[in-house]
Amino acid sequence: MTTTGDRASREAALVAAYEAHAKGIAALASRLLRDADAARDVCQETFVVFHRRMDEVRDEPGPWLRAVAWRLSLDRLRRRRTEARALDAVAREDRGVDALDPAASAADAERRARILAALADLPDRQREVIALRVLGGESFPRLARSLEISEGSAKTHLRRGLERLRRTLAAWLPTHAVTTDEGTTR
Amino acid sequence: MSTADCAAIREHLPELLTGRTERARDDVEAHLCVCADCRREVDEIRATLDALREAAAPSTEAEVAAAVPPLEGILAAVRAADAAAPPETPRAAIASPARPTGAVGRVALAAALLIAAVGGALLDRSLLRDATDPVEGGAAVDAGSASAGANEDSRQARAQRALGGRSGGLGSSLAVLEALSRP
Repeated sequence: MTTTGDRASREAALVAAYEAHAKGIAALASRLLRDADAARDVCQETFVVFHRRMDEVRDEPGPWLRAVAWRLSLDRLRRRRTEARALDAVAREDRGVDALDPAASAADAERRARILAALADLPDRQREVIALRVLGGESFPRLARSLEISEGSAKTHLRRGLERLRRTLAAWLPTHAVTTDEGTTR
Repeated sequence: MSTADCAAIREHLPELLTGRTERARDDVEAHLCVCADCRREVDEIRATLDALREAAAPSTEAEVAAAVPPLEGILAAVRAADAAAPPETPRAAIASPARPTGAVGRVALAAALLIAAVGGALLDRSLLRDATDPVEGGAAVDAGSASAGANEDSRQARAQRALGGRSGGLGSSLAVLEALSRP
């Protein structure tokens, strides 16, 4: 049973976390989603999750909040990706062309969407470790604690995730830097 | 340059290239000076990292400001959630934040149910044999005292009633266990 005092102290902790981290969380979500409404939703959901699970957060809540926000943003990107695939399939049927052909469009927006979609499509742990480390600049000890995995495991996820991204993004990266699965450079 | 050297060096490259400083350990630096393949590996990882950072470049101040939700909205949401259900206790929470019903949880639940079902089925077979097979179960009873035998007969009868003609599954195992555990 939650007492009125409990509720008040939880709300006070929530307000303190919001004041300290709301802008950072919004910046993080906005980086990935590029959509104010979506980023605002993610930011709000992050604090709602924090309020529900604050008993688990033993240290300063910043790293925990960022880990949750990255995850929610990546989930949303993945959903967006799934919806885009469905729309793309319909568009291909209508137009009779392959809209996924990299040669068909070299626009910056398209390239950006491809790269973020490739990140969103990675297995959960790989994409979270990459987001926290590469985009968030977190140290291994801190990101491992946020994700409740070992540092060794975090490094393995980073390595495997980057390998997978390189293969997925081969067509979108500079040609001198593309190595095929067979080990030849093209 | 040996393949083993390259493999050991490449193991460290993602960590090195995603750190705040790219200053490599001396052995990595020395290896990269003489190994073109590993230098190419470094280039490829850097290209991937650059692409990612470029795709998720920081938003402008105005974009960030527009993405900050009002505190009042968050408080209204948590109060509504509180009214619907009390906050989770640490005991009830699972390790993975924000994914209480994620894939790992579902797999763990499925595994637990499978173990329980298989265990229950095996238990059923064992109990069913003891309770209904006059040769195996009866022989064991005959070896005991008369009162113990009568007591065992009564327990077997309760077990058979609890089974109610079913011969497998978790439900029947639990029913049999419950019947046998009664004095």
